[in-house]
Amino acid sequence: MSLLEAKSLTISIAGIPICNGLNVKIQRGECWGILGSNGAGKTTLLHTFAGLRPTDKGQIYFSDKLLGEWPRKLLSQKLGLLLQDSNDIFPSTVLDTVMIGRHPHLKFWEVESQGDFELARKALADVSLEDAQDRQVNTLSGGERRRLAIATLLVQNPELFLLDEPTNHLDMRYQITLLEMLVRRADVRDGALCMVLHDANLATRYCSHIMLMISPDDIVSGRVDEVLTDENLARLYQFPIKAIETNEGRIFLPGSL
Amino acid sequence: MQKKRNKKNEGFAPNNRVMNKKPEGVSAVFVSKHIVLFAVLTFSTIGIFIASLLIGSVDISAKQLLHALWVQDGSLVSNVVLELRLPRTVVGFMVGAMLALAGALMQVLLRNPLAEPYILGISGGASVAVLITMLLGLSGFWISGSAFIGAMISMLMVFGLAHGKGDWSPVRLLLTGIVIAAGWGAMISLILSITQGPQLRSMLFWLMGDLSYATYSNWSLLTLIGCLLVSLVIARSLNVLARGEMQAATLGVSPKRVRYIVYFLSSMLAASAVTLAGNVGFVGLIVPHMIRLMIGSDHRVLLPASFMLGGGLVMLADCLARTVIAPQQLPVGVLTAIIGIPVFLVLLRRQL
Repeated sequence: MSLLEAKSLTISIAGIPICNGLNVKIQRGECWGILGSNGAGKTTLLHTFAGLRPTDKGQIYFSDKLLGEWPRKLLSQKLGLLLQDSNDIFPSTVLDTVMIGRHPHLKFWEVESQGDFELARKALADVSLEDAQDRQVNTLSGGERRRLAIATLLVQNPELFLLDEPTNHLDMRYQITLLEMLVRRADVRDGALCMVLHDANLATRYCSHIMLMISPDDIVSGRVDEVLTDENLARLYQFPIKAIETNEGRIFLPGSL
Repeated sequence: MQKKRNKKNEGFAPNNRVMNKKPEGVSAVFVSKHIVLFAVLTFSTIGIFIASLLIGSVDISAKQLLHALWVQDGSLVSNVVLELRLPRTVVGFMVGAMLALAGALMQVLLRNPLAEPYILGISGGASVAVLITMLLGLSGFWISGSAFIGAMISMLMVFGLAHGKGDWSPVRLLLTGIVIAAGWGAMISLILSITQGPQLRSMLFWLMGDLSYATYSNWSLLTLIGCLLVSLVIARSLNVLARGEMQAATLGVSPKRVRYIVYFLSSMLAASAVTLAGNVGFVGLIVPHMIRLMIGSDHRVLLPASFMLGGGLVMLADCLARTVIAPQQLPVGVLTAIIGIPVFLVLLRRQL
């Protein structure tokens, strides 16, 4: 039983095709990386996987049930999406912000329990924001906001983590520690991850599977060692890319035109 | 650092244990955090309410007040309290509560801190209808009736036009509302410019917000209570919606449905407030921000607290409006601004 399955999926945004007849299956225990050039539609595809956008043709199944047939609230207990950026208009503390991740788990009359607060504090500790819980969100730096958004997703505690550029704004240490933690969390839930990345080296390090959005009719997907090659990457970005084998694994270096 | 690492690793197993625990219902933390605020709001509201019954062109002692309320003997004091001050005070509270609640809802609907109950043209529609009614020489019931009808026409117009064929985005709604409001504004100016004499004065008073002819109606009380209850039911969804429609959708909130409800609630509240007292400005914009500055943006607290503070503020303003230069009365809308602005600025300064 696959966690998420797209069958001959066709989507477009503002008349621009994103994919034509895409077939892909995300199984529990897998970690998928989506790579593509700017404007290829990675975010649009991820939003479609999350059920936020209509499809032109084809179906998406979550746990073998059509995505559209899931009650939204139940779905959001099992499927979480990290958006590319967050914007907060009204003043709010870090703790209040991370608490909204509990929304899908509470009935409408329920107030967060002591246990929910504990979860929130743990999630903040997981992203090293435990000392910032009373700070106003608008005083946080870009990287701290990113970590806060990740903490909110941890509090939501889904089975399938859809991540739109999770490493945005993060320094090297947090890129590694937070990706490792997200992968572990998905394992704990016996779930899966699917993330849009720009860094092929992070993809080789954490992903088991890769999807390359070369063109709407040419989306290459499969196991990371088969798909993530210098040839494919050069085709994807239309730019020379060199693979170097090291003791730590394969590294990709951009060349020059 | 080492210590933190260990803590982090331990974090996973207990997380799951807590996750599987049954929810514990209302948490003590949540209640105790806000009990002081609500206690202060409740006591000051009651205080202002009583003061408002006592103070006026005829000063009444506490003893006389109790007597008048318990033994309705038809004496002067009893009449003043029961027929003038009590309904006016209650309507004052209702108008303030409606406007503050509508303002808080409008701000999250449009995701704009500058939003207020009148921004989408509700009061403009009501004003034009009322001014035309006054121009025709009608008064009493016709004024409030036409205000409500004007508000509803404006509400439906903005709702329909903002829809179009595209989606119902906050920006589109805001722009549609502002344009419609500008149109009403032009019509108001037109009517004022062709009106003369005492009629002009009563029009200006109505436009500034005036409680002197306000009559209490059960219907508006029901609207107020109903809207408060519904908004409390969706309050946590509003917390999520305030972070954007996408974020809301990923957390299981249907943004479209919630926004329809919020539009309807805030419009009904604004229309009812305008019907009761004309354009009482400022309350709807500032009261929600005052509460936000004090306790943050949790709508489960923000909405009822705005309700109380808005009601209290207008009651206080009306109390002053009746007494400052008695026997002459001031428009209550002017007083709400005069009281509210310094308080707001102090809060803002303390925060920044």
